Parts: sequence; structure tokens; C-alpha cells
Amino acid sequence: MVDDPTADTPAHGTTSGEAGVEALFAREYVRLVRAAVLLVGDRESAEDVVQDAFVGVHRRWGRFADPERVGGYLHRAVVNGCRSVLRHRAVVRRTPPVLAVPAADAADEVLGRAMRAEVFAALSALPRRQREVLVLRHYLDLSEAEIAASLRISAGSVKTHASRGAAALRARLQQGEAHD
Amino acid sequence: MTDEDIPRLLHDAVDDIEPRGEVSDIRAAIDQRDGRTTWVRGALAAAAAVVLVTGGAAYLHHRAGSGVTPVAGRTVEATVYYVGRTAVGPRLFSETHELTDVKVSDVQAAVDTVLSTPTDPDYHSAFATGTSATVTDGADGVVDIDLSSGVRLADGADAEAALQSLVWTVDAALQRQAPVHVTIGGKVPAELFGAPAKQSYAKAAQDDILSPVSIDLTDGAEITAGTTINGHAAAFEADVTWTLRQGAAVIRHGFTTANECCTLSPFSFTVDAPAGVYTLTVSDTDPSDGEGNGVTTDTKTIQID
Repeated sequence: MVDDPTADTPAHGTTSGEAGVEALFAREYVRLVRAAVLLVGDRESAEDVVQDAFVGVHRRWGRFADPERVGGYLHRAVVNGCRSVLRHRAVVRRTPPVLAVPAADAADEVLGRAMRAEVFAALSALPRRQREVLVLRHYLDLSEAEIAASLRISAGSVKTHASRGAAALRARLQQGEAHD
Repeated sequence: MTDEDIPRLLHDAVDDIEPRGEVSDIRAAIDQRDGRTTWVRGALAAAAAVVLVTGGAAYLHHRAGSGVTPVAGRTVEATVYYVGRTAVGPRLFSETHELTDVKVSDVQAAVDTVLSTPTDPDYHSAFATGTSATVTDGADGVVDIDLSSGVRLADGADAEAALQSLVWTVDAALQRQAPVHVTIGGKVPAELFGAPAKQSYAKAAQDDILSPVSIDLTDGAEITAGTTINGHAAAFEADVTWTLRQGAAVIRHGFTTANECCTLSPFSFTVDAPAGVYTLTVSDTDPSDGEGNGVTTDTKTIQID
């Protein structure tokens, strides 16, 4: 006898699911892509990573135990996707993964923007975990508890990666300034 | 500079970036399944240099799949897990396949292979002929497998072997522990092959799901005389026996011991015989003299040069 795959099944992609994903996308897509750019160094890869993460959220929409978990899933999917990009880039290039240093934009006059290349260079020099925690903490503004839940590491580990990463980033940026 | 400066630095570095992509692209990506996503990644990875494009630059980039440049096929070596009969019920036997002209992801190609016909005629796909699947690596570590609607098990397979054949094949393709989430026809079923459907399936212990005896050779392999044959067995007292036959005639036979009893561990022996085509059978032993489960065998046709 054939199992009826439609029996007692929550409808996949219900109206509320679509609306939920759309609302989440509207709120989060742009800032997640920007966060992913900090992790992988280019916009195209970042867009792919975040789109894939949303595809995953869309597929799983009916399965999240509560709405709180969606954010954690989404952040974890973005972080994992970025790791894959860097790993693949290392394999293709046969060199250690580096973040792409952005092309200098002659129009950049604001001090913050002039720092862009230095910020990327400093980020790319960090150990992967520290870079990830820094971006989640200081760009996405997640709490230590949220980061711990997203990356499935302890709160203590988050603290350590955050403080070491911040110290390393500051040191490199100040070193960079000293050379100018 | 203090930690308080870090958010501003990060924001200044990327906030002028205007990502492209609409929520409709998500829907389109799901509708088109995994092939398109894999293509996009493949094309990006092949790019010689990766350059950050600031918000000021723009170029056309359609994500809906139109104008896609076909990718050249590649060769993939896949280890896949078919089902075979053993003294302890349906169990998994692995085969290594060299797949050519692959245009989908490695894991999709591996699952396509495990749903088709194995090289060894004693094995079979766990699923009835005509079953297909769409495989998506979810980027959160869980792999989605969407089986075709109305999927049925093949004769001789049970639910556990069928699901594990997928899990072990996916795990081998991705080279990592990858729990598998199964849907049928795009829907989450309440039941899968007679048991309540789980959120995800992880690998069962090898002693519980792999065949208690297996030979590490592709069916039909050519070997030179004196080659060492390797395999794995979980055998009573680790005893393994082997025979080399031509037709009904036993040309050579012998026995060996796996490294450990009772849990899957390696064995090896050497076969020396004149050039020809033979049937090599490896078997565990039945200590109960017929009262227990019986013996499990793995058989390969081999050619000795």
C-alpha cells in the first residue's frame, strides 16, 4: 500500500509562510548581505550566500519551533555560507582564503570610506571565528547570547572571540594609520 | 580607537552597498531547484579575481535563470550505498562510481546514482525504479532531499535501509556529517515508508546498517594474480571464508581473520590463480550450525590477468 504523502501534512508555502518570509526578507536582506560582504569581501558572493540562506528559511518555515529560532537559523546559514565561499575560493586559488580588497573608489572622500580598504585588510587577517563574531556583534548588533545561539558555541567563547577580535582589529588599524 | 569605534568602521565599510535581489528570487530559486544555484556558485568560483563593486557601479545580472551559460560537465568520483540482502536483513553495500559529464552538484549526482542501477547485480537501489530526488545542501548543515511523489521502496528494502542509503551517500558526497531532511513531492510527510517521519535523519552506526561482509572491489574488476583483496566484516570470531569459482567448480578457497570480531573491521587475503574470469565470494561464518541467522556473503565477478 502506498503511503499518502499529503495526509495530515501542513501545507508547504502557505500564505502566512510566504508573508512571513517576505517580511523577514524586507527587514533583513540588505543588512545581511552587507554583513556577508564583511565576511567574504565581495557583493556577488554575499548576495548568493544570503539568498541561499533565505531559500533555506523558506523551505523550513513550517518547522521552526518558534519565531525566535528563525533569526538564529538565518545567521548561522549566512555564516556557514560565507565559510563555504572562502573554502571554495582557497581550493580554486590554492592559496589561503583572503577577503577581496575592494577596488579603490576615487570618489570616496569621507574618512570612514577611505578606511574601507584598511578595514577589509584588517578583517581578512583575523582568524575566521573572531571575524565572524565581530561582524555579528558590531555590524549586526547581536547580543552575546544571540551569537552563542546562532553559532552554537558557548557565551564564554563568544566573549573571548569578541574581545580578541576587537583587540586584533584595533591593533591592525592603528598600525595601518601609523604607516600613513 | 576603542571598541565603540568598531561598529562605525564596519558600517562605513559596507553601508553604501546596494544589494540586488528580490524576495521573488527566493521563490524562483526554489522553483528551479538546486541546479541554478549550483551554477551561479560555479561561475563565481571560476572567476579569476573577486572585486568588490561599490554602490556606484551597476551591471545587469538576472537571477531568474534566463541567459544562463551552460557549464561544461565534470568528472566526479562518488561512493554510494546500495541495498543488498544479508543474513541480518537488508543492509548497505558501497560502490564507487566515476561519474562523467556531471553538471549538477556532487551530492545531487551521488543521489541520482544511488537511485539508479548499481554495477553489482546483487545490489539494488532502495527505491523503486523511476524514483528521482532533488537534493539541496541547506547551508545550515542539513541536506534536503525531495523524493518524487508516490515514491515506493524497492522489493527487498526496508525503511531504515532506504533512508540510510540516502544519508550515507550524502555524507560521502559532502565529506561531512550531514543530517538529511526528507520530503515527498515538496511536502513534509507525516509518515515515511511506514514509520513516523523524523525532522532529520543522521547516520546509523555502521555495525547496524552496513553489510556484515563486503569486498572492496567493483564488480567486474580486473586484477593481477597475487593481488591482495581487501574487505570488511563483522564476523563471529572474525572468521571470513572465501572461494574463487568458475561455474560450479571451486578453483581456490581460503579463510582469513578480520582485525576484530563482531564489529566491522578490515580483512585481506591474496588470490593467485591462472588468468580468467571468476566469481569471488566472501562469507562470514555461522557458529550456530544453521540455527541462527545464516551467513552473509558478498560476491564479485573478477577477471584475473
